[in-house]
Amino acid sequence: MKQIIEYVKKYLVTGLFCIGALFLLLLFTTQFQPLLQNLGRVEALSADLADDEAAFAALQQTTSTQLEEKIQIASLALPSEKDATLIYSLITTVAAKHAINIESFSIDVGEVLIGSDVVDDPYSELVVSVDFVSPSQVNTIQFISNLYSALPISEVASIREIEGQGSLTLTFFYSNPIDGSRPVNITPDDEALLVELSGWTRP
Amino acid sequence: MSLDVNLSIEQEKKEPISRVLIASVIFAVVATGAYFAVTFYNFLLGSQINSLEEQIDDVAVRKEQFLTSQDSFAVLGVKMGSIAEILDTRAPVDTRLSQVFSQLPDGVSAVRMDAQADSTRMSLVSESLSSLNTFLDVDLAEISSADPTIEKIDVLSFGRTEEGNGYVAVVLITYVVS
Repeated sequence: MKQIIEYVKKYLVTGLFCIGALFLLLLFTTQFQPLLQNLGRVEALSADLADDEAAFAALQQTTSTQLEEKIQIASLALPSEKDATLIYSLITTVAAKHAINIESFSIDVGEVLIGSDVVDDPYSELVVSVDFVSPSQVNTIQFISNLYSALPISEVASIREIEGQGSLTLTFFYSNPIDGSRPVNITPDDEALLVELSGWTRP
Repeated sequence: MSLDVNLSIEQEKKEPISRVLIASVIFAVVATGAYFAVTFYNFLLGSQINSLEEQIDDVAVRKEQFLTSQDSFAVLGVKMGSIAEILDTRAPVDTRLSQVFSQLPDGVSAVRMDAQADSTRMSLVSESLSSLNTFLDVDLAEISSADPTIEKIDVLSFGRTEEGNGYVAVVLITYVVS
């Protein structure tokens, strides 16, 4: 009997140790998923921090000439006022490239702001209507494609063409006075966009 | 002599149990150590994550202070935000028209097109019924599968031209507008 109790004790103790060890192993494995997640997050955050610091350093090192050039491109893409001459010049320049004959051109000036009127939106729209004659639909599509990679930025609201006679409604944009409460940021994506915009057609 | 032999057998029987016990103890100690080591390392990583997030926030604050302290940067920053938003949201009417017209087979031409942000409507004519049919059956399906923004394509009408020398189909492509 004593021998049996002795055996049971030993097996029980050994069994308990085995179960305990397996339980600890299980606990250990549960820590792996958060460990991998944390390692990935540290890597991503470190990369973000390095990018942010590099971008900030680049901004601080921007010379006044570089800054002026950037503002010039951004202002051409998004003028600070309704500039009918600029828009007309762009449309006729692009149209001439694709043998499109502009027959009429009109601008819906929209609301006129007075003095200290505050606008919530950072930019407003200006609708331009154009009647044109096109030698072919290929020319018309090239005309539209070229307008989409030209400054100032525009968007086709509608285009209709019937046997060479077309009418096009374009939306142009202009920026409103800067509201001081708006957060300001210039990201590496913005820098890349500026480089892209600098290669676009200009009037 | 016989007693010695019995003792020896008893010792051999005990040995496997002891080995399992020792092995499980070692295993438990190692597993415990590893668990605490990994937990501690996770804790350190958590602290490192917090520190990195604070540093990123700090750079963002310093950057914004720098940008807002200089009017030129503020103008550029606001304009770039607007430009990016406009470009992201403008309807790609140019690429949609290019895509559709590049698929027109020889002998099929569009006599009328009417495109807006949410739709493109075309009147297509051809002297060849099979060319027009190929476009409607095959090419329109390819156009649809290539552009996930297409919601549906309807062939609104199909028939002979007024002159009777060809066929005309009116197609309406509707796009998903976000």
